Amino acid sequence: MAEGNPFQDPLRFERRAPPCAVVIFGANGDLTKRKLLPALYRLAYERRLPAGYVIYGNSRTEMSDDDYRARMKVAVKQFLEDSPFEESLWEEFARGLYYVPGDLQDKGFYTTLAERLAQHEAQTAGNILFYLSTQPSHYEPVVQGLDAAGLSRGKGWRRVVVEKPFGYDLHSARQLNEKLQQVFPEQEIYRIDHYLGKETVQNVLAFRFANGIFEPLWNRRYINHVQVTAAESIGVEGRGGYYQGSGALRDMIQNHLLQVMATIAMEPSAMFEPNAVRDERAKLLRSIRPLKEEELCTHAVKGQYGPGRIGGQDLPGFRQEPGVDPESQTDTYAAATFFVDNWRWAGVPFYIRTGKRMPKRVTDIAIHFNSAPLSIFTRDNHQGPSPNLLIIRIQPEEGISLRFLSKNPGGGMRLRPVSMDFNYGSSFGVRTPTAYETLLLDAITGDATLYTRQDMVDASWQVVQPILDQWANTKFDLPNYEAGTWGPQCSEDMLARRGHTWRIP
Amino acid sequence: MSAAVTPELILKELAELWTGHGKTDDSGTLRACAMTLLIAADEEEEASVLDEMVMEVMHAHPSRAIVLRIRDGADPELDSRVTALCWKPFGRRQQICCEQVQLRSSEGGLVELPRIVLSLIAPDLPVVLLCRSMHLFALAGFEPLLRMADKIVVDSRRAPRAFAAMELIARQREQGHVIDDLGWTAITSWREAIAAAFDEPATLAALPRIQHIRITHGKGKPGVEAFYLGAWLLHGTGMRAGVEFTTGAGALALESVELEGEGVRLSFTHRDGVMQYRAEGIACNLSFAVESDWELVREELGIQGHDATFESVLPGAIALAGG
Repeated sequence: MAEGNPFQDPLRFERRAPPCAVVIFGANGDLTKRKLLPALYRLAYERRLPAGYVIYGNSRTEMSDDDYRARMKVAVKQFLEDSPFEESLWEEFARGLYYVPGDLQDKGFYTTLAERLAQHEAQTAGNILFYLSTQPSHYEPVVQGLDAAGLSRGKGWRRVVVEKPFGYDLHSARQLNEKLQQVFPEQEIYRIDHYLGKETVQNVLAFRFANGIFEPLWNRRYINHVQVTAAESIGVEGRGGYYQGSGALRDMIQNHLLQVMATIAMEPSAMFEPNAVRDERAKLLRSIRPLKEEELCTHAVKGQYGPGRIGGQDLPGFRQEPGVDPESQTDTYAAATFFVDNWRWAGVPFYIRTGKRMPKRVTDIAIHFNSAPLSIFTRDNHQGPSPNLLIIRIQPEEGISLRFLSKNPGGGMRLRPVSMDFNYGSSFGVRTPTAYETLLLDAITGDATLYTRQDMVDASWQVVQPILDQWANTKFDLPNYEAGTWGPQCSEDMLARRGHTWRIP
Repeated sequence: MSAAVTPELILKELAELWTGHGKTDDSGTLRACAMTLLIAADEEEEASVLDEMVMEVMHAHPSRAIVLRIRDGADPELDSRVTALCWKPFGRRQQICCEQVQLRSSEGGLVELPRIVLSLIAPDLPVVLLCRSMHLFALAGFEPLLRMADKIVVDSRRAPRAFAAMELIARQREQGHVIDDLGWTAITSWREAIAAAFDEPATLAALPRIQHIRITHGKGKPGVEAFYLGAWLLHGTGMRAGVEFTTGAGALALESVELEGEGVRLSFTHRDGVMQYRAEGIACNLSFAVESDWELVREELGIQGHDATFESVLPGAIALAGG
């Protein structure tokens, strides 16, 4: 949007993408089929894409534009979420869809790509969004190839979206950043963490900073502890080989869950503007105290699922999954206790856990408030942990619940916990955009609020690096939890040391 | 009959509606309500059109809908009907239901309505009054209903005289009501297309040179859409340009807009669902939607509070219509 345009009306006008081309590297991969193309189709459905947009896909597979369109049509039909597929709209959408086969190591490919993109310059105004949906090992050759072909700069803007993992550890993350920044300036690098694009994660900011009643309670005086859970019921689903080199701590906690924690715990920014919000997130991440050597055994838990039986079905353990080393030490479960060293949160434990093959798929944040300072009711009333609990449900059944004590109907003052629920579906009838719809549109319109910046990536690696180092040098007795359970006993023990227990989501 | 319609009775019917629903529905129902939507319409407005509009609006803004059907005359008969509006969002197993209360009254019976409506308003949630008829909006007996609303949406496109309709809106605004007009909402797509053209720095730089605004409307006299658009363009050009209205051959409220000045000429033409934009060295089609009534209402319900742009444009539109 041009500054000083007196005709702009943000109250009314939909955010629409400016003319541009989107180039997807790894265009025949799972992410493109499941998420990117359905998101772009849906943006077209909502008329958010500009007239004459251009989408280029690339992979090594030889195929024509029409072959690619046919493949993507099948994918979009299969993976489109919560909306019908419309044949006529697809026909229109597919007219802007092209394909350039090529090896990412081949310099000639980038020249061909540049020539093809130049043919559309009148439509795209020279604006190009490059999306790296490839293996991380390709990031460097791609950005260098783009640079050599003159595609990293030109008439319009040039941006690059990078998928996680942003490195394998702190050192490699810094190296990757150096390579990216040799070609693209930091403000044009969009590191995507799709958790930040989820409506409910964004709603945490609205919940905290648009309402006056919660923020006064949002501190160590009233909050006892916080639990963040991201559980998956599935196993590694044929990705055992890849997962073996990653693990739950790297795959989930280093990026998604630390970003969620930062959103929960950050200070309000002075304004809702990309760098102001990201500054606060980064500041919070830097305030997480890295675990000391003597804390590593008591504050972090590594787990791996063994065989189990769910619903009459026998499930293999991680080590029995195809492509997995039978002696693998990979974590399919990780939990940690973190503390934030600032005045708001000093002494408040943040428990974070994630795992595969757990009883159900759920991601939520539970804020446990302190108990009333003095109970005036008789001792046969509510017992156990603090009754006041605020649950922010990220998936599924997005919403917010508040648990509090209420009197049981009838004689006597008997109490029991009840829940007050806000459900997204009942207050907003419209479909919720997927995280990729939100984030793609953000990148095209140049809004980086929900993207992670290098200092945030750096800070989150600094938090998990001591744990990774210790785990790499220790042989664990794995597997230590059965498929279909809530993780290893030592995870429960980690909370029990402070008199806490994991809630069952 | 009028004695039978009491707030208590309607509330009881509403409670029974949900109790009955719970007994017969085992697939799970989400009862949804984000606001009270009061809809006032003339009795002669076709019921199926109104019902369809309400249903479509509910999908985006689940509400307790209170539909007031007002007929001419003074007979005191008042009747009510309570129904559930249910739908199943695409890909979901659980259906969402809202409730609708329909009250039918004569203009003479308007005096009875506010007391009933007041007791039916969903507590602690916004109240929006959608007034489908400018005739009803002008009635003195309507004032108590206006006072209940946090926001009022009228549709001046239906008024026989644009000037009088816009003046009425301005007068009611002076009484402190927050009022929006679907006639203004209907030009959002035009405004968006024009604004997008000025996102181009070279076009924006040419803005001070624009001296002449020509708006071509459909057959007959220019409607509120043409006056609103003219006033908005005039406002955006710093009140320097002259506005001319010309009559086209089609049935659309707006056919084209041309902006001209020294070394600058921009034109926006709506034809067959496409907006053609032409300028020096540019000729392209922009995505453009002619929105139905329910889409316009959805847009309005998505906006809470004052629309500062509309409020600043309204006096200019009245001046253009009056001049």
